[in-house]
Amino acid sequence: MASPTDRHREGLTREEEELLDRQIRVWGVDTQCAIRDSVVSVVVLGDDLSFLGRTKAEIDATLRDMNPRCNLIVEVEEVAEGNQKPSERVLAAELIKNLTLAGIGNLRVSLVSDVSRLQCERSDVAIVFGTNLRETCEATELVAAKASTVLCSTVRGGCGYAFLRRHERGEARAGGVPLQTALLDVPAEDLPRRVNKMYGVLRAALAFERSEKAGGRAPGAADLDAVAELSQSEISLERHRPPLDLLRNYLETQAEMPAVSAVVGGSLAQEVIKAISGKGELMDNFYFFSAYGSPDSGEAKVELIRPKEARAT
Amino acid sequence: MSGTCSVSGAREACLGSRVLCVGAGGIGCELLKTLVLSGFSNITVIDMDTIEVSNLNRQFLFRRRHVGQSKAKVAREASLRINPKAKIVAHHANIKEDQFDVDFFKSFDCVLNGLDNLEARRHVNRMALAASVPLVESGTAGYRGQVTVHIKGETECFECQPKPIPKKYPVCTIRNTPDKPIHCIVWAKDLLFPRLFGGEAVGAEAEREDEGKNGGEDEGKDRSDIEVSERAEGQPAVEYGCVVLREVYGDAIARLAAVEDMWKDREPPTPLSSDVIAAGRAIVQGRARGGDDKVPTSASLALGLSDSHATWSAEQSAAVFLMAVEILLDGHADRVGKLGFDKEFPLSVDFVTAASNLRSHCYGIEPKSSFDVKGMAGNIIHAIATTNAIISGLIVLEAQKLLLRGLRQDDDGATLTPWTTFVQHNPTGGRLLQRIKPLPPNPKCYVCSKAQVVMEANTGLMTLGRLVDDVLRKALAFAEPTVTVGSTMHYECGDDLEEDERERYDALRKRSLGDLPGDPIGHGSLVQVEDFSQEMSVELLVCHREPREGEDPDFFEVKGEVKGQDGGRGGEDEPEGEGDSDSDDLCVVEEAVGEKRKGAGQEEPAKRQRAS
Repeated sequence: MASPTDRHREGLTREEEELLDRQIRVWGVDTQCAIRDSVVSVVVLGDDLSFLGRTKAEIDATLRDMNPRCNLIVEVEEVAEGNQKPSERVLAAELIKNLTLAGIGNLRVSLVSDVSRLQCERSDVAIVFGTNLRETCEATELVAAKASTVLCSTVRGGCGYAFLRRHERGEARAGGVPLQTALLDVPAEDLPRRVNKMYGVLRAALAFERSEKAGGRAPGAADLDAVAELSQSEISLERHRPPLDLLRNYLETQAEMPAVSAVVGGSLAQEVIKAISGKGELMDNFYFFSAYGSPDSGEAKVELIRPKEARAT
Repeated sequence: MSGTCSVSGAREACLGSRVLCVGAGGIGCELLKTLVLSGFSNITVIDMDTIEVSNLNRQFLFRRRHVGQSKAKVAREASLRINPKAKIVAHHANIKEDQFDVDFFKSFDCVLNGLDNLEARRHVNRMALAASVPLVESGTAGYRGQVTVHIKGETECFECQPKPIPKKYPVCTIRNTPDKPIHCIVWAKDLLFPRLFGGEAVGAEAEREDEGKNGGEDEGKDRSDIEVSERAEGQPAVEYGCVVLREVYGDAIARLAAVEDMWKDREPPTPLSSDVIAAGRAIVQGRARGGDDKVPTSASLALGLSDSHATWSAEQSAAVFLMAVEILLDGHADRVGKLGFDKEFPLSVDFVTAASNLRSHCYGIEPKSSFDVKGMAGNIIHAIATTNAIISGLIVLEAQKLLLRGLRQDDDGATLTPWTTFVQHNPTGGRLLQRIKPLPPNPKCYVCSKAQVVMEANTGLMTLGRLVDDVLRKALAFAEPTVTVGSTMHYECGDDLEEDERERYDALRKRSLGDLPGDPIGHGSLVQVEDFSQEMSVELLVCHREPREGEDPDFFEVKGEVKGQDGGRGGEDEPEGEGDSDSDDLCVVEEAVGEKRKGAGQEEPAKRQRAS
């Protein structure tokens, strides 16, 4: 991918400048041109984009109304009656809204329920949203083959996270480990001394999804004891284990707390713009935020978590 | 306790609560969306603004077809489409209006601010204190933002800490000795533009250093002493523009340059050459004219200068100047005499850019692009949707905690601690959101702690009018102050005053403090100031002193935690960059545009400056 500054010399029209004046003053014309010329792919493992709409027609109309200049593709997989996902994907809607307002020039939004049917196209940045961690890991690896920067993210209840995987010309960079590796294959001695408690929640939840008992499903409120047990066995050091209140909040519902989605969605959009523009320090590789339930709730923390051997590459 | 720290607990807190959203701009739009999605079903929103094109990059409830309409009303309609069950009341009004009194504020469980200016913030802070309603205050500037919770008696109020003072410039620098582009821009915007196209020249940013010294008799006087001939009947606008250029940039500059004493320590300015004016005129006359009779919307575009980031040559500036004069005088004849600078009106931006750059040319100052001039003249605060979205989420989280505190008296409190949270662009210590506990009330705060305010002034010179207007209204942000000393009421205001009372107070306004009848105000006087609209009172201790060497004879100095408006002292050494934005945002801290990504391990220094 050519650097944004090499590619974007056309400048902006007066109309674009008038419309985007306040943000051009923040990040400059070169970044605005890079945003306009970028290709971003958003994959949502779900079937409802909350305030942006439920159907392909609704979502398409809302986004075109918001930014008529965007080359927009919306794909919504037909879901059989009774198979719909239960919750609105507020976080995905937040990110898509933020990117559309920012002036992304080429945006593909795909709502799918079955990862195996996911069609990936080449893009500068791809973002995957899924409640089920196992499916999210799978989808992220699929899109990683076609995008330089891949992010995945979820909000469940009042708990949110985002994960970044970045490549340069098809090769994994330092830190470019898959989500599954970052969650399950990092020994305790390789973890930061004080890791955000959300990490333990995600690790236990993914371990649960991969367990025989779960059969691949994401844990719910009824699985609190099982997930709490896994947090003990999967995480060897007490200081890395999540408080029960935080686990409870994560498991209580698959619905998102919209305020948390607004926080994570805004941060995530900013990371996409950093990736496109090459300006700013990208989150590497985890971003955690929770509203309640833990001593570190209320602060958004970026933590680099990977096996020690991955750091040497 | 069950559900307290959970999604269901938070939703429970929202149901049945009544919240007031002040502002439906950048933060306000995001806030309304997050509120209705979170289950808040009883919302009142107030905003006096209408929608502009430059709002559309971040105020996502609005579309181009809404430009010119009420923000509050359009935001209400759009929010109802997200959650049709919500009950939303919208007021297209100023929050300072009488209808929004203390009883109005008392009818809410929580006040959520998404405001764009200090004056309104201070007013809402006082009303929330008077009504004992918690306030969630917020602000953004570019990548940075802040959310703070103000709870009466528990945390500091919005005015417990000093606020940045808006930048002002001495008139003598603006008129005679500019040395920075901003000086020329303020001159073009506040003095020349109103002189040619407006009514009274009222400089918002030029310091009133030579006014108000004569008992307020100069109030309203036209301060633009720029000598310009009137346009002769039938004189073509471009010809008139050339006359203005010769008089303002040629003759006046030459007269100034001849004052030798002024240029002992600096280079004198150079008058604009007639060649530059002739070249500018030739560009205007040689331009390609459109086939229709439409009045051009932009002088620079009409001349083919489409790159707003380019700086114009002196000849191009002269051409834009003449072109703007022609379009404004001939195409907007009905508005001439009433026009003021408007950053959203391209002709006024073109004119101020050209006029300031020509002045810069005379003084050897670097010129600026029209993009830069628009930002500087319009005090534009940078704004993006992402920061507003994050801030709205944080506001709602704090509001939910406040409401839960009311519901759950048995809670241990730890999880419902209110936070002040700072949004950062790059991680500092790994944190993109940094939280701290709000400070307790400041015992020196005259607003929430009833601390005494000390004012130093020359009581023989300061008039009651200046005390009311500049000290009480501007510096201390009273809306309707009454002034009492001992048993003598010197001043009160309001719509219910009798005609004879009004006349009496108008007469007293012109008298010096030491010359007031009954109980004059002198050294050691204790002045009781009350504002019934804000349910607030302050004791003002007056200390008379003579001005120090070099100080404005009609100085005043207010001591205590009261800064936030110009306290009678302006000048070159004040920080630059503060100003009200067009919409929702306030200055937190500047960050350089175009900063490249830092290498691993390079931490951005923490900049935890307080919003506004």
